[in-house]
Amino acid sequence: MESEENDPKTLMRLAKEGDSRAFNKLYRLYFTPIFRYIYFRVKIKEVAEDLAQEVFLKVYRSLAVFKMTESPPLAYFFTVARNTVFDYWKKKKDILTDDLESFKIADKAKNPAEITDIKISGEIMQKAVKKLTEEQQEVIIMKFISDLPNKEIANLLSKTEETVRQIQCRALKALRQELKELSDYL
Amino acid sequence: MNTDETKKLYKAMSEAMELKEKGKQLPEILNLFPEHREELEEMFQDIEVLALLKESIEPAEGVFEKIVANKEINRLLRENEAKHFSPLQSIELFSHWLTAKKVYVGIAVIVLIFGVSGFYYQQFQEEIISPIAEKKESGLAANNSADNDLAPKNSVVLKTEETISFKEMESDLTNEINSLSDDLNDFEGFNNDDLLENIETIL
Repeated sequence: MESEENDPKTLMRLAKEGDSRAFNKLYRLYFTPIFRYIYFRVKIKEVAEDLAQEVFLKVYRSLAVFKMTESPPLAYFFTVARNTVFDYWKKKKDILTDDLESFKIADKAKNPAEITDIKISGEIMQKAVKKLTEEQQEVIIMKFISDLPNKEIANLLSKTEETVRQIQCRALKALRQELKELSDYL
Repeated sequence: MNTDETKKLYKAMSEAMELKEKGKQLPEILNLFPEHREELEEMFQDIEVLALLKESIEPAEGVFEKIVANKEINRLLRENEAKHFSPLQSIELFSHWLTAKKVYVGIAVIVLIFGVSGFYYQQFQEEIISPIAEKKESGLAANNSADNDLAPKNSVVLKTEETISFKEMESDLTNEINSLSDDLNDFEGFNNDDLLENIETIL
């Protein structure tokens, strides 16, 4: 249970009222999930950092018109993040790359062999996700990369939770198929 | 795999994921769906790889500090702290509010206009018209003492020019009509023959 002073809704309300420390806390709270989402969509770390920064600036500028709803503020941050990624794609269609080197695994594994395994799996997974439909990619990234609950994903995509669950299942099945094909190819 | 089988598989996948989210152990979950065991095992493997992938995606060291130190964000934060809302944000907020509450705002504006005009009209009456009327009335009183015969007629004219309430005008006009009627009666009661005789005598 989050304490009142770290509750995202309270922080958002305070930020809206002009409390910059509250916005800083939101920043720390949401930066990583937003960054991960963007990174998975654009595949370039530096670009992801810039876009994540842009997202927070956009949210900050729009605080005055932000309306508190039932949803946690993260949903609003994600809406802005999605639009920012779409805008980026519109501007830079050619910048996306299939380069396996763009995937840099953090050294969290215990030994070099494990690191290599994870790296290869991660790279294949990234390629496989990219082969899914746009809608499936969005759901998979939001669910498993940004850790959003189904309710929030449904809210963000204007779908029911049941539909989101169905998309997830189809996406995971398609992902398995893609992974098999890619593994055979490699 | 036919449609029914696919539907069953999706149902099993969905339920298995839900159970995992609720904290149930993987072997227990797999035992609950023996007919889809293989597919579910693969699904959870993929989810695990996705989780590892997620953990690997971290912003570069110091990037958060770099962003927090961003000049524009800091400027905005300072402005916001100083003013609570910047003028731009206030305008944005107001325009957003206007758009959201079009009808109510329309009604409120009309009510406001009526309210303000009513208030100013009342003030205008109290502060401008009444003092002038009083002033004129006191001026008229002075004139009346100097010229008693003309006073009633003048007073009607002046009061009509400046003035005042319709009731007063009506009462003045009634008095004037009565006075004219009296004159007319006097004139009608006058002996014309005697007047002619007097004129002839003078001539």
